[in-house]
Amino acid sequence: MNLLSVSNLNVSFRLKHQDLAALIDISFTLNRGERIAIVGESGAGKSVLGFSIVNLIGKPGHIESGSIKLENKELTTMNLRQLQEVRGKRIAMIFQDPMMTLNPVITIGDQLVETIRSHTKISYKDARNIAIEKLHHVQISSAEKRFYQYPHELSGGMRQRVIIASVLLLNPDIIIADEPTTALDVTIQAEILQLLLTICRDNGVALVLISHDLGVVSKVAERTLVMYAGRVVEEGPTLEIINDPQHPYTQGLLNALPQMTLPGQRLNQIKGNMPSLAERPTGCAFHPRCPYATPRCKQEQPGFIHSGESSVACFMVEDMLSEFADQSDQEVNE
Amino acid sequence: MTTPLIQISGLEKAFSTDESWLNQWRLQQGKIKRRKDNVHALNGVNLTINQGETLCVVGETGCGKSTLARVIMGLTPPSAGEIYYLDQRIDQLNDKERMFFRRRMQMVFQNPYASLNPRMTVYQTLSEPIAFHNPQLSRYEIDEQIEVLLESVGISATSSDHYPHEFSGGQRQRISLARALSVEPDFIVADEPLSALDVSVQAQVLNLMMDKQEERNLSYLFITHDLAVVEHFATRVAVMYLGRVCELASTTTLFDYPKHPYTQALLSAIPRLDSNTAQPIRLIGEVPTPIEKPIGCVFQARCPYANQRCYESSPKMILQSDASSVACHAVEEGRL
Amino acid sequence: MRHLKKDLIHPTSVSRWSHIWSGFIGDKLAVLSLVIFVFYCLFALMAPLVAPFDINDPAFMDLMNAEIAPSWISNDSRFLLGTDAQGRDLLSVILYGTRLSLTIGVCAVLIQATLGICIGLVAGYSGGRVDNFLMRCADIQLSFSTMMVAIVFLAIFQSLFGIAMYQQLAMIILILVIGLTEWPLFARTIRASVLAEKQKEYVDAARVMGISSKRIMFRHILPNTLSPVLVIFTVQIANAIVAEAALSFLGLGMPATEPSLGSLISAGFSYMFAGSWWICVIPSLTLIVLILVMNLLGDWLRDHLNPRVYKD
Repeated sequence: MNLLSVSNLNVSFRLKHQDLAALIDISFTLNRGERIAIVGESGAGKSVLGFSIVNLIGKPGHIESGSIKLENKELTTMNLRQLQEVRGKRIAMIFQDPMMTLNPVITIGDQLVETIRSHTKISYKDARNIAIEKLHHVQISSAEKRFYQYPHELSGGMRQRVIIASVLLLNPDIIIADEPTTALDVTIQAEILQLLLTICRDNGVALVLISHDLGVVSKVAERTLVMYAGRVVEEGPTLEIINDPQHPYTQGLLNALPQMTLPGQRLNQIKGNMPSLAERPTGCAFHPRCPYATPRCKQEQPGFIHSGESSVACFMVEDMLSEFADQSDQEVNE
Repeated sequence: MTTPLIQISGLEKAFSTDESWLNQWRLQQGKIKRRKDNVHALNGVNLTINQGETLCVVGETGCGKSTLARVIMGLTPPSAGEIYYLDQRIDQLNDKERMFFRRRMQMVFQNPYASLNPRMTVYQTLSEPIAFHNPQLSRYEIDEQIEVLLESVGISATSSDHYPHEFSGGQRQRISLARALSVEPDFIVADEPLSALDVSVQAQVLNLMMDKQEERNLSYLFITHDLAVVEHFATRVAVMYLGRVCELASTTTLFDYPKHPYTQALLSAIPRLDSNTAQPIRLIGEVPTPIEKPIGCVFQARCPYANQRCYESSPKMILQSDASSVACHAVEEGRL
Repeated sequence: MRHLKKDLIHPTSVSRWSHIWSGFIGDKLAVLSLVIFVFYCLFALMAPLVAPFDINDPAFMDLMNAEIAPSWISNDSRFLLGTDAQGRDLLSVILYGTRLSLTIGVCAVLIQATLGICIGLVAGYSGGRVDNFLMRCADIQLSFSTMMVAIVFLAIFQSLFGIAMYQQLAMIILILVIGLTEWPLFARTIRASVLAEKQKEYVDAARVMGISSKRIMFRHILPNTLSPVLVIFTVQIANAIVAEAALSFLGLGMPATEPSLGSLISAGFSYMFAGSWWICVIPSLTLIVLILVMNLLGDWLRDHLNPRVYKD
């Protein structure tokens, strides 16, 4: 049974004059201990998806329809108290900016102890010991000293480690990490990713990694969802998506990376920009930027089709596959 | 050999950390003394930039790379050291004397959302520097220049009456580049111009910068933390750590044969797409804040190869057989 | 290289002001406040045309008509809002008084704003010792309350130059006193925004272009700091009108021959318990509604010009 299953999720922002659809028809599943990534550019709706999973989406956002099931509990219809139970204990979130979660005027030790004591009844001393043990666990050097420091006394990487430690305190089943390393330096980023990876592996925690960086994703996630303008356009095993992208957007995204062209050559750019929510094109939202767009792409939204282990929402891939199938049929007939 | 376009030698910059004058008085051994705490952002940087090349400066947060850019552009005065533009010393000039060099050297900034004045239209943003540096031009000629300039960076000239918030990040970065190009410089400092942009838009801006370089024989000082961009774009690379250049090499040499232990760690940490890269080299600890002027090698605290000599004397840049220069005792002694 | 025409980028137009305007139309309280405020301004401007009596006419003051109650009580159709102790038509006096109060308020705040903006800009942009000096001056200024300074100054002026001279110059002096005492509020607000704006890269970009500090301050930074100024501007006009009214009430403001709302209230106050309540109450209501409306507008502006709402 799936740990988390999201099906046909629609989220929109209700503004005064119009409703803007932020997420359209998102479906995916997450198994226990599985690590998936949600990739996309800014404005693709990947952070909205992260927030929607724990029903934390702020006004004017609103879940229009669809279901989010944690095991067999429906999250979209839960009341606030049940949700808070789920948010802390079952699903934890890590943000890009650790200061969003850390209170700047309380020592990190007290913040950790408070988290423990609000969920289990133990003495301060015991809670302190658990907290220090967790700080050791996330490889914070001289954890006893750090326990008494304020968040601003720590570096960015160290703060992110504290966040990971605080997330671990309650043994969640799922960690949602929204761009956890974007604000960090390359060397620190590598360490934090490694830490996240080992922690998820060792404790059997499932991970939803939200990132714009395919390099980061390829290091951590087993499966990847590529998002464009509020929809998932391609989903499949990370390696397959990186080595053999099917959707023209995924292809463009990968080809635009500097390492894909010889030094000094012009990069393969995707023309244009991601449309804003208000001006989403009809049909396939990518068609104005797509080099293979046909009149059909302008009118209809492609459905998902399976190609190998991935599924893709693109008419071109669909046509290619059916042609291929026709050919093999003919061969069989002959 | 031709003279390099920009030559920097022994550049140092220290920022005072105490804001208030009163806080600088301390009681020390029974006496009241005035003491300033300084953060040493640059500790003796030597670099040259040749005509038509792209020198990339890479390093992590706090290594002084942005300070370097600001000092070169005269936005912050250096504490010590010299900067030359084609043999003319420019670091001590006042505003008036600097005016000539303002036209020759321009800058593109990191944040496309803050680098354009939100209350000025694109036309105003571009016409101000053009009119300022070319007072002889008529209004009509200025309009014509702006039109050509905008179209050359891929922005429609009809949109010159629009305000910056109506453009996306990538488009704003193009306008920023157009502003820098408006005075026809031959040297552009770009301080992390891509880091706020999405991958697909990064490619557009980077392509534009390369086109302009080809077209106008521009030289770039390109400051970034993204090594993938460096590998693609740079002619030479300078790796900075705590206010010092620790390795300077041509791009291919640096990426194929990194010598400094820090460069090696940095390169191994890039998350690459192919799955079979080696494990990143773990560095101990985090980048310290350089409150005290460091004695010895700046990298000593995190270097796996550090020995007694590294703590005592600071390594000099030594030219290697493959034309790169490295500041490391371990490399010099052949321990690495 | 020039790009092909079809590849050129056209921006998507989102006008900030149309957005603010549509928000404004949706807010009934704000619209009501604005309508009332405009109504006040129009009547104040056109007082000589609208007022049923000419205030400068010697026949205007007729003690025969003193203390007539408003028309709905006295059924005297000549005086809609009744008359005061000198037999002046209250409606006309209030119209002229509002005109005077508004003029004093706006002019005083213009002085405050000019001084405050210049000082705040220079302090914020220069930083260091200049900043320290100017801000300590502001602190000293703020440590004396406006009323105290005004009372002391006006009292000294009256005793030095005599009442007659004072009555001639009352308006100008009031404007100057209120204008010169409250500049630190503007200076502080401007300085705070300048400090924030100065960090932004467009200022560096202008410096790299070699543009002079004066031009950077006034052409680049100032337009970006004006939203909070607009808010304080409205609220300060209200405050200045109140200050003027308070001074007039204490007998240090406008003379009875040229009544502002404050001096009307002051004059009427003595008849309050003698049965002629309207002489005091009607001008008071006029003043209260004006101040309330201006504060509401100021609050609305503060909420909607808040840059966070327009974060790009």
